Amino acid sequence: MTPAYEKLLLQLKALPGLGYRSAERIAMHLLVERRDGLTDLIESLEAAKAAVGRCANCGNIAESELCGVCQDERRDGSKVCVVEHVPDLIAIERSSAWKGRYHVLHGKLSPIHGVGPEQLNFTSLQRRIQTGGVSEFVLALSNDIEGQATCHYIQEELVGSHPIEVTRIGFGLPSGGGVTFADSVTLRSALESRRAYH
Amino acid sequence: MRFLNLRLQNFRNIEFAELGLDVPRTFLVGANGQGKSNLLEALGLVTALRSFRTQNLSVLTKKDAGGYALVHQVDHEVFGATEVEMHGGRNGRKLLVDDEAITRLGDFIGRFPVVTLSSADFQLLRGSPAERRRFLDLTLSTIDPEYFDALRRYHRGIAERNRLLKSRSSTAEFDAFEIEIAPHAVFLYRKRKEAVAHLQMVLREIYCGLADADEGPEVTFRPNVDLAEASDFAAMLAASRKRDEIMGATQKGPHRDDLGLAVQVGGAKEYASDGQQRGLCVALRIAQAALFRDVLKIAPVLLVDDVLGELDPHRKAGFWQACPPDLQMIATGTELPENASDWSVWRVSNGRVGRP
Repeated sequence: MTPAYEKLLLQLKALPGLGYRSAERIAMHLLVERRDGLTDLIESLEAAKAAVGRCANCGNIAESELCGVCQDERRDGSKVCVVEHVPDLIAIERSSAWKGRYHVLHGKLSPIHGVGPEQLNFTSLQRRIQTGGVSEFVLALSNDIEGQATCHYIQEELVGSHPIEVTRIGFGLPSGGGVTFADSVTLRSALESRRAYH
Repeated sequence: MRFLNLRLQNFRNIEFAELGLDVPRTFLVGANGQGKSNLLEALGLVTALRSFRTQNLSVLTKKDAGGYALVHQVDHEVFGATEVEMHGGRNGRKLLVDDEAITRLGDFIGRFPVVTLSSADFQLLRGSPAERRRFLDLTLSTIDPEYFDALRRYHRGIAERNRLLKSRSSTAEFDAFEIEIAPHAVFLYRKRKEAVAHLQMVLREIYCGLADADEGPEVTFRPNVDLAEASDFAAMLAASRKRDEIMGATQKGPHRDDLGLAVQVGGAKEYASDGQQRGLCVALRIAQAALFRDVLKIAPVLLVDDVLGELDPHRKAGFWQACPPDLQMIATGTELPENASDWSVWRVSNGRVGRP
């Protein structure tokens, strides 16, 4: 194969979720089957590269200093939902269940993967805590040991004695799912986080 | 539960075989190296997708074949007649229960309990504490999915902490992980203590039946640290950071627990006779089966891999008495057992199975 093709293939293969075969399929699709769409793709990649950055306040993707959520005056800035990644934020936004703002950490503490506090978006979180105006952090981080440790770190190390309520999202039964089909660990968690009816 | 039928394809030395098992007692007879234990191994995978002989499942596929397939048909106290289908090998693993794909191992482990008795059980006495922890962890994971979950989280937490020890991390990072590790550690401690007490209760009766004498068999929990409160363990971890840093790993915790196995003459490892030691291992496995039955309310199947050859005639006779009669048993040996008429016999020869 040609050197330029090989180079493209390696670039594609390095993308998350793509193996050799998928990379090959995409390369062939772009170069041979749908060559006319290639210019548009290159243009949108360059435009996105130039325009898209991180929101200075929350870490979400943004095309100006602040992202759409942080700019939106109708959102309740006193309540902040902390998530690991932008797709988590997008998922919650799609549900329309959250009217507050967000903070994206871009990961969770995991020494095994070389992620410490310096690698996470803690600097602007600290700034938000110190500036005031936040009354509640809802920690929507994953329910594994790393997610839990990150929650603990935020509460003890960052929030500390500031008068901010720290809450954790509930873990339990999927909506519309019956009790019968839930595994016992999920059931326990659902029972532990039960709440008063009405 | 009971096995009704097993079909194997490209598994170890077996190209294809079908084995009817719908009887209380099945005996697989054949010379060494013919495939008897391979059949038991295939049956044993149904509990936790683990082999009693190897931790490397890639060796299960027949040489020169792409992958293996197993179909277990069982009659189950809760699920009724059920079919468990397993595929493994180069094309990845797949697990189906009644044609429904199982994606979370936690949903599967322990639903179909079997207990395997083999000569490898000797490692429970002779081997390192890791062997005995593995026994305890597998036993508890089978009867309690929450234990499996806690065990995974605990080990993950310790792995994260061990990495922190090597990277000059801040106190706050240590705090964050240690606080999260501690409740899992206490949970493991509590469950292990309970299970060992239960095992000890049944072990004595079983061993006495086996040896026809009360030689005071004992299984005791030897925790690395006594854990009453999560906060105590977190504090202990915090206090031992310096030392752990020098050693390069977390030194104290349930990952260093052990079991003590003994007969009347003291610690079994040092004093008990060879026969007593083998008897103790056999009794421990039967006690494990009894524990499964008591807790899960599902009768496990006993898979007995050429264990009797190693017992004296006295204990051999006692063995059948010690096995709970309500459990299905599938055994192997190079020679037929004395009372062969009580058994449904299959002859195994060069990877093929047939009636003698």
